[in-house]
This record gives sequence, structure tokens and C-alpha cells, in this order.
Amino acid sequence: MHNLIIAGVGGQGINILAKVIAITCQQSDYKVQYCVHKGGAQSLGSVYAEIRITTDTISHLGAAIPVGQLDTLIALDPWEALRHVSLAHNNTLIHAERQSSPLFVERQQKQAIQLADSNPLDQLSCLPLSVQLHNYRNLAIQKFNTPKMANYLAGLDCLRALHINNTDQFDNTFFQLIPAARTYQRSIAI
Amino acid sequence: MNAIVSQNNFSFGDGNQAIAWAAQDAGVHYVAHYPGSPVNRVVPEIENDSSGRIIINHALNEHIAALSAMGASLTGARSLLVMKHVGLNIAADPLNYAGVSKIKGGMVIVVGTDPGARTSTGEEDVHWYAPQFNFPLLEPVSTQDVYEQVKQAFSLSEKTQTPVLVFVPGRLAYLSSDIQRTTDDYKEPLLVFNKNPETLINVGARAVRNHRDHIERIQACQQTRANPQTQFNPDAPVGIVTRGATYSVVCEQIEQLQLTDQIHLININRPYPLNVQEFIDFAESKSMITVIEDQDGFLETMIKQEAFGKVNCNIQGKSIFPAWGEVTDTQVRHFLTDQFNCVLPKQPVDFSVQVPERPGTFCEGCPHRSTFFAIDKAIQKDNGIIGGDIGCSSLPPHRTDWLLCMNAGIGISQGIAHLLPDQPMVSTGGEGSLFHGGLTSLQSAVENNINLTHILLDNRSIAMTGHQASPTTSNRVDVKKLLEAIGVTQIFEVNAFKPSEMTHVIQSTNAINGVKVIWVRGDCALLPDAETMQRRQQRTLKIDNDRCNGCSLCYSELQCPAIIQNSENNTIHILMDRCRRCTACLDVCPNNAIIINEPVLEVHYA
Repeated sequence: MHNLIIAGVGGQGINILAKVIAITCQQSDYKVQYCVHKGGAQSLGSVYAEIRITTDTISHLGAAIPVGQLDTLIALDPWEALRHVSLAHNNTLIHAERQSSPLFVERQQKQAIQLADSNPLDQLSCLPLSVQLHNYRNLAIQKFNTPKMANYLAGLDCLRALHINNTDQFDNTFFQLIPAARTYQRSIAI
Repeated sequence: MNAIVSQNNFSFGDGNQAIAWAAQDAGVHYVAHYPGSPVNRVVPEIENDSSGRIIINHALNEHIAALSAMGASLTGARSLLVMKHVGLNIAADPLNYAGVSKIKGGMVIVVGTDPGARTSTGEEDVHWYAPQFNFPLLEPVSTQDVYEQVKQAFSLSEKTQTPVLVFVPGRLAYLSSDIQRTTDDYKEPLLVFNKNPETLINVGARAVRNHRDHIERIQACQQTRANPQTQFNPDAPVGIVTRGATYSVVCEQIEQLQLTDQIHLININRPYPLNVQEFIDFAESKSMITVIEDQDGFLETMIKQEAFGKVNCNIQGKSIFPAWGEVTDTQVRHFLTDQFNCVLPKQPVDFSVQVPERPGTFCEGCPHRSTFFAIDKAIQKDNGIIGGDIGCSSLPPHRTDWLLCMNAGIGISQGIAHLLPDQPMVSTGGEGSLFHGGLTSLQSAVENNINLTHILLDNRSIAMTGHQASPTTSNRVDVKKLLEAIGVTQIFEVNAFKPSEMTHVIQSTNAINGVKVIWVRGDCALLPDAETMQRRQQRTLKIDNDRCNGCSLCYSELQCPAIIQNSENNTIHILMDRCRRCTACLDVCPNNAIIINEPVLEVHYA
């Protein structure tokens, strides 16, 4: 059993990445379920997907990952990584983007502004957990000329955490489900 | 999105898709709905069906959707009615008559429930409608079960000649897993409407007789076995009863705590009408039974009502678990560890972190952003009241003074306007709400000569639930003529992206008696044909920091996400990769510091 959360902000492609990961795991003979939470907002709100991967039956698994059972947390925003650490156990692995997305709506809310002015990386680095910080966004710009491919790079870390070596299946599903990303596919070969 | 079929020929889908596929595989002819999360993607999935066999009624409210589905079922067609939990309130009037009218084709009502209020303004428990309507109620436990129960509901509906309710909570509606689809041997009936005054002219003695007949049909259904799933040790003295999504939460905790020998679990898949004998059989050897369910305790009430005096054990439920929110793994674990004095294999770690919330906000280029900026400017300084409505206009939630239910803006404002005539006030609501029920509300205000300024936020779509079409999407409706026809004489058409003009109009309406409508026009920026998006290639905007005096109106009051402030020198900038070129910021800036670069468009006249 492996419990994974992919977290980020609306518009970063969390929903579709969760689906790609789920299908890739399924193609590697795992049983998978995932649940996406995005609230009512069309964009800019917190989004996360809970993915539960097992070799046993999934019919007795709740949709939500229980507290203390989160094995891997992949976050495309450091604040969104912090939002889910309450589910972690001592050996939880966290991969988090360094750069935070702006907290737009809180400009009039003092508490939020105070927090937003603090550095989420400070809190992440103080956690007694294995935390790996990444520059998914900048790497995606560098490699694919667009920040939109940050979710692809985060997806590769998901696969590593799950010890799935066959990235071809992941690539096939990713570019099948996201036709707009096909224009960047050539950069991978390069 | 097309279904991904896995190697073992299962289809990978979520609860919304499971509902859609079940309806298709059950031979549904007619689908009526009003969009609402968490079941907002059912009908778009059915629309992928290229056979053209399924007729879809994109009804303007749930009342109409319910009646049209009844009509379809009266012809012998199988019909599917889809709505969210609060929509059931709107559909309740006609559904109270659906049971007595003896429908022919199976009619299945899928209701998206929302314990925990993830995608709703409230988590109202609509289970109590099942005994009120006297309809069978099914509750699935997984996405596969959603598929199977929706299919099963069609045949149950035909057997009982009543609609059947299937409740799908958010955590199943958005849960994806393998779904095995099966084809049934369903023969399409010849569709015909048989005139039957005995059941369809439901008055006087007939109404009483039909009511009795309906009750007898449901009592007969109650005697049929629902075959609830049982789990773990049948000889255990401790019993747990679940329904719906709580089943898997409880199962997982029992297995993790290694209590499978000490507990016997039953999941009630048909909470209404409850087959009490199945429960009595389960309860026979138990000393204590705990009902674990989301929200009010409907199942506990049904069990206590039906099994009163027939079982010897104690039954508890809401005295242990709260009647609000979703039942969580933590609550179940605490209950089980207390009862059985056991510990978890993996202990959670107590992390102390502080994270700011990211509540909903308006997207970049959203017409509501500049509209609420204008409303604030017009009336907030005078302690003005802003009536709020459901929809994208309620993102972010703090921009109005209430956020309760459909058309609450236009409705509650009328009572306040009656009693506080001197306080500046506007009601707000989208065009989806106007056609849902707001038009009647507005006409009522006209008839009662209420001083009311209603701000009609027309973004040409029901955006929040996935951009379903509204009557203004196609421009088939002339809104101005419609408002004039119901007696609104003061109609002001304004551009959503010109907030200064709008502020002036709002202030000027204060001096006018009667009902005034400010028709704010501006496409949802996420619509593919939105005017702002069409100009995205041509327009560029930037802030001239020599002219900008740092008043910060665009950043801190308009609060456009595409406008950011440099944390080092406080200068304001526009992120062009986020900006959707609505140009509302141009209108807001008092210093003309925002520069637009747009080539002159050639206009050709016919």
C-alpha cells in the first residue's frame, strides 16, 4: 500500500497529473483509486489529489488518506506541501516546489498577508521529515519553454517515489491525455 | 474526456462517469438536470454519447427538470434526473406527486450530496426526503457500486412504479477507480402516453386512494431483500452499521486496527425503505450496535423506528458521532481504540505548521471582479448592504453580506428594503440564477413596488459548475425586453470592465423609486469565445512606474491576480502570462499609469 498526495494550485494540472499517475500505476499492475479535491473555484484555489495504490483489493479503502498514513507528498507549491503534512508519518517523503504561487485573495486579510510574507521553505526545512526542494517551474521553463510542464517533472518524482522505472508508459499517457503538451514532447527526446 | 480502458477491460472513471455509464448501459432515453457539484460532470459525460439516442433537457431549474423526467417516464422511457442536494428542495414540489402517478419507464433521481460542504454553501441532509416522497433510496459505497446501483435503480423504479433516489456524496462523485461495465438485456419499449385519469388527475378521493396505493407499493418493496453487504466476524457481539461512503472508511480502520475478529459490520445499501428483517437477523447475537453515518442520523432513526421492540441490543450512533461534516478516519479510529483498547500500527506525527488559506477568488479577467469593485465604491462607504447569490459571483466569499442559496440576493434584499428604505443596498445574482427562479422574484418586487436595485451579472454561462449554457449564451433571449415585459422600467446596461461607469450608475439608481436592474455584461474569461480572450494576441498592458504614485488601487482593491507588487520596492507590475486583457485596471487607475498597446482594429461595415 502506498498513499500519495499531489498538491498545488488551480491551473497547475494537478487533476490531470493524478489521472496520469493512476493510469501508469494501473498499467504496472497496481490497483489504484484517486480523488481530486478542488472546491468550487475555477482557478487559483488549493487543489490536491489523494492517490491510493495497492496490490490488494481497494474496495475497503476510504477515499481519503487517513492521518498518519501519507507516504509521499508531491507539491507544486511549498504552501500546499505544508497544508498536507498533518497526514504524514515519520518516514513520509516530501518533494516540493521552492517557488510559491501568490496568495491572491488574501490581500485584504491581515493574518494571511503576515503568513504569506513568511517563507514556507523555512517551515518545510524545519520538519523532521525527508524534504526535497525542487525548481519544477524554472526547470520546466528552461527545458520546455513553459512553466505548464512543471507537473510533468513532478510526475517523474512521483514515479521514482513509487519505484516505477518505466517512464515510457507515463509519457504515453501524459501526452495522450494532454494533447496541448505534445508540442513539448520533442524536448524530452533532446 | 474519453474513458481509458485498462488491460483487463475495466474502464477507469470517477463517480460522475459511473452514473453516466450506468444510465447509458441501462438504456436511458431521457436525461434532465440542473448543473450542480458534485454531480456536475454527469451530463457532459452523457453528451459524449454519439449515438444520438439520448435526449437531454438542460432545464433552467430542478423543478422543471423533475417534471420533464416524469413526463418521459410516463411514456415508458427510462429517465435520469440529476441535481445536487440543494436542488432537491426546488424539485420537491413535483416529486411529491411522482409516487402517486405510477410512472411506467424507470425514473432514477441521482442526487449529489455534500457532507462536509466541499462544493456547496451548506451540507443539508436530504435523506429525509426519501420518506417524504416515499421513494426507495439507494446509497453506493464505491465507484463500481455507483455504477451498479444506478443501473439497479432503473429496474427497481419500474417494479415499484415510483422514482428511485440514488445519493452520491462528493467523495464518491470525484473518486476514480476501475469500473466494470456490463450490458443488460433491456428491450426498448414502444413509447406511448396512455391517458390515465385514475392516477394523473390526482384530486379528492382519488388523491387519498392513490396515496394509499403508493404506500402499499413501498411497503411491498420494503419486504423485498436488499441484500446488504456484511463483513468480518458474524459471531462477534459488537456490530457496526454503515451506509454510503462511510463503509470503506470504517472497513479500513477495522482492518488497520486488526479488529476483524471482534466486529461484525453490515452496510445498508437501501436505507429506505429499510428491510427490518435483514437488520434483525444481523442484530440477533449482538450486545451493542453502533451506526456510523454522515450527517443527521437518518439510518439510525430508521433502524430505531423499524426495529423498536424487535431487537434486544443497545443501538447508538449520533450520541457518539457528530451530526455535521463527513465521518473521518480519525473519528472512527478514536471510537474503535476507545472501545477495544488498541493502538495504531503507524502513529501520526504532530506537526505544527501555519498555512494561509486559499479561499476561492475571481479568475483574472473575470467580469465579477470589476463589478464588485464598482459596487464597493458606490455603496460600501455608506455602510451599504450587498445581497449575495450562489455561483462564481460568490468567489471570493467575503464580497457580499450573505451567501446562502439560489436567489437569496434578490429575495432577502426585498425584506430588508421594505424595512430599511434609507440604507443603500443592491442585490446581486447571475443570469443563471435569474432564469432559475430570480425572474419571478424580480416580478414580485415589481408587483409590490419595492425599492430594489438588482445587479444582474451576465457572464453568458453557468461558469462555476463547468460552463453549462445559460439562456444568454446563445443570445436567443433579449434580456432587456424580458425585463421590460415583467414591468421593470429602469434598466441600465453596463460594461463589466468599466467599473467607474458602473459606480456612477449604481449611485444614480439610489434616487429612483421602484425596481431597477443594472444589467452588467461581460463574458466569463474562461469561455473560449470570450471577447477579452479574442484580443489577447493583440493587446498588451504595462504599468508606467513613472506615472504610478503607488496608490495601489489596482493591486489591493481591484485585486487582480495578474497584478503583483514587488516586495523590495513596492512597485506594481502586470504579469502578462496571467493577464486576460479585460482592461478593467485601466479604468480603475486614477493616474492613467496603465498603458495599453493595441493596434487600431479595422472595422468593416456591410
